[in-house]
Amino acid sequence: MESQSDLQLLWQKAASRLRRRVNLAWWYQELAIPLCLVALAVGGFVLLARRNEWSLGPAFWTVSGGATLLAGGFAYWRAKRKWITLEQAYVRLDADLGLQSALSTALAKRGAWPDFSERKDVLRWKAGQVALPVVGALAFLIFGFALPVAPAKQSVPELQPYSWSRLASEVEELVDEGLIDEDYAEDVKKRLEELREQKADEWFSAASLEATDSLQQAHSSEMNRLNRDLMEIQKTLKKVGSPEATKADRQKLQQQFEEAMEGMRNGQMKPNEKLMKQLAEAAKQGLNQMSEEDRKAMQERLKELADKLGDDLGEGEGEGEPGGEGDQEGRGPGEGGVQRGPGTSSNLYGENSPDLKLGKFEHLDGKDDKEPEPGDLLNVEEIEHELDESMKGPTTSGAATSEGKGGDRVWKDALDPDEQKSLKSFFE
Amino acid sequence: MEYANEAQVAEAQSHIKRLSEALNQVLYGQETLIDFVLNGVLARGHILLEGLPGLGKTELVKGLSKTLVLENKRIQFTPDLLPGDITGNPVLQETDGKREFVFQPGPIFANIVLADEINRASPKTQSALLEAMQEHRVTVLGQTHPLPKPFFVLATQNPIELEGTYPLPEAQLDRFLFKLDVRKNSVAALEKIVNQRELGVEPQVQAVLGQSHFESVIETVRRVYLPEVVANYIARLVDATHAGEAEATKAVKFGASPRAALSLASASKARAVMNGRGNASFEDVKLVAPAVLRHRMVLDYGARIDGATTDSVIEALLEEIPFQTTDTPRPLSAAQ
Repeated sequence: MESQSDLQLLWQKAASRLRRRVNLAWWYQELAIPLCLVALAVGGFVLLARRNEWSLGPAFWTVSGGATLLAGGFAYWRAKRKWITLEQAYVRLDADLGLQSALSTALAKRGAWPDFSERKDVLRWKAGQVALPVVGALAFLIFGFALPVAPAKQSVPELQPYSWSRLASEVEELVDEGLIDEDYAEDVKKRLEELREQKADEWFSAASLEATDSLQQAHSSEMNRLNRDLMEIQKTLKKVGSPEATKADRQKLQQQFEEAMEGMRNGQMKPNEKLMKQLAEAAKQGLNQMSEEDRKAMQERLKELADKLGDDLGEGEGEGEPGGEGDQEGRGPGEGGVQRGPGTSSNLYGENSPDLKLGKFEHLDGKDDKEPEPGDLLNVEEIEHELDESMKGPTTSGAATSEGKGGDRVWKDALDPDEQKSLKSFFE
Repeated sequence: MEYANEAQVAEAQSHIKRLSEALNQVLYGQETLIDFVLNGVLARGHILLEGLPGLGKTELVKGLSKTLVLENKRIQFTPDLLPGDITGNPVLQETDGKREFVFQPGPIFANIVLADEINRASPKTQSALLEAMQEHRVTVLGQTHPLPKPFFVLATQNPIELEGTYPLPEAQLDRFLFKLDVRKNSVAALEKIVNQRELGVEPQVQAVLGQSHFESVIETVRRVYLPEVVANYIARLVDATHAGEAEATKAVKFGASPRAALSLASASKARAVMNGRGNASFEDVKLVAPAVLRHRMVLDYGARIDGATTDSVIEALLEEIPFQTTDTPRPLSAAQ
């Protein structure tokens, strides 16, 4: 048989245990929704990260842990208002164990503590309610980590303007064939890379396409210039070798040779280094001093290079007969694919007249009334509108608004004489 | 205030037990009714007994007065009864050659007054009881006459034959501590009555408790400890009887008064002593609540049409209002 102090201690422990249980349950109840929300957010982020192939670093785990702690703190703040005191726990024990308020009386020192036997807990955990938030939170996390997702970015390359790849391959081809110097190729590639470094959304913007077009034109212009210079040198070499060339002619040709060399040196697109050295050496020795074999070999080499350049120029741009206005040097009207010049392609409408003044505007003078230009004012006259005057306007009620003259128009005017005649004979 | 100790409570309980046994010899098969009548008397309250004729209401009151050795008087309420017939009248008397009015006390001057069929008297006559019941005194022609102590009114009324009756006003009803329904006897109780009673012969009742002992029992009841949490429960319960304060009392037109709360506390204390405890409990309040509240609540017309009664509303209310003020969190449930 326990003494009163022992009983008091036992009941105090029981009340404390009940209070802890109730308060913990309140905290857990308030935690349920924030915990699920945090799990939902974490799961969603994981899903997003997997889709975008982001790595889940320490920052992610720190933030996730912090959010969980924050949810716990929020639940604590909410639950604290509902927590019960020790006195309220005694009241619960009184009420639930049917102790006839003996504990409240004993606590107020107005009565003895009731006997304490191994009593069952007055409140028990509900397994379903306890498991629900945890299961919900775990479900969200499992969804985040295990739900199959397709990566948002496929390894398919972005669609680039075709001109970039074509220009790059052209330059590459020229270098591979040993036609031009590599510095020029590097410069073009660098400019193309600058264009690629823009946002993908802007690759096809007007500014980007205009810059691409400008680069393309500059490249074509350089190829033309180099081709022209090489042809000039070749012609010079050919004329120097001619037996009819006088000394003065040869000096003039030497001068033309050096000018062409100077042009090639100053241009952006230079021939390959080996050729430049050979040409420079020839210019230094003097064209007269070159042997016939060396000159012919040089001529062949130059012709070969010029032909290759010519072939490259012909690809996609064409050297069409001028039938209209070309928008740039070396580009024929109506030819060259999507970058063709304005005007019609040659021979589109058959053979051109031999008198056609190609490539020039012909001004049409409109002063002669007999040969007016389109848009000239030829004549001004006043005419009267044809009005139907048969209608007399509003009339009083019951009056005929039409005298039936409309029918006249049908059989008198609209019918031809034979029809009128047969119609008349029918009514007669 | 000095609270009753265990010995005092035990002594009071033994007296009450003897009273109860004696009364059970008067009225067979009405143990619950007898308990509540004793409960009401120990709580110093007046009791309204409602039941059909012949169920023993009058016998119970007479038996109570005999066991307690208290003076009792019976007033048969009729429509032509006047207030003076109850309180008493001044009578002109000649004493030593001088004529003067001398107050002649009425039947209310007794320890236990049986107001039989109280609802048959006019409201004017019924109201003559108001002052007597609340303040234990009577004022006639400006002179106040105190009533003897203890003073109890045990009134009866018949729930049938309501023609020519005057329902008690709310103010009058509120002065009754309990309203008790006298139910019909069981077959076994009827058999016992037939075997042991004879028509027209009053049962023999022994005096059990002298007035001084009875007053000491009442004093013990007064000194029973009422825990704060129980007082809080009483307050919440009475407050919830008002319309809109609880789900159960939506159909209530008027709720209980503060006097009902005091009555609940007093009746709970008496019940605690009857059960041998020195403190009132939630369970005591719950037990006496229907008897205390049923005549203090007025239901609206719609609820009455729907068949609701004050007893059904009180039952629902007692289910709705918990003993403790704290809620139970969802993850926990009461252990069976």
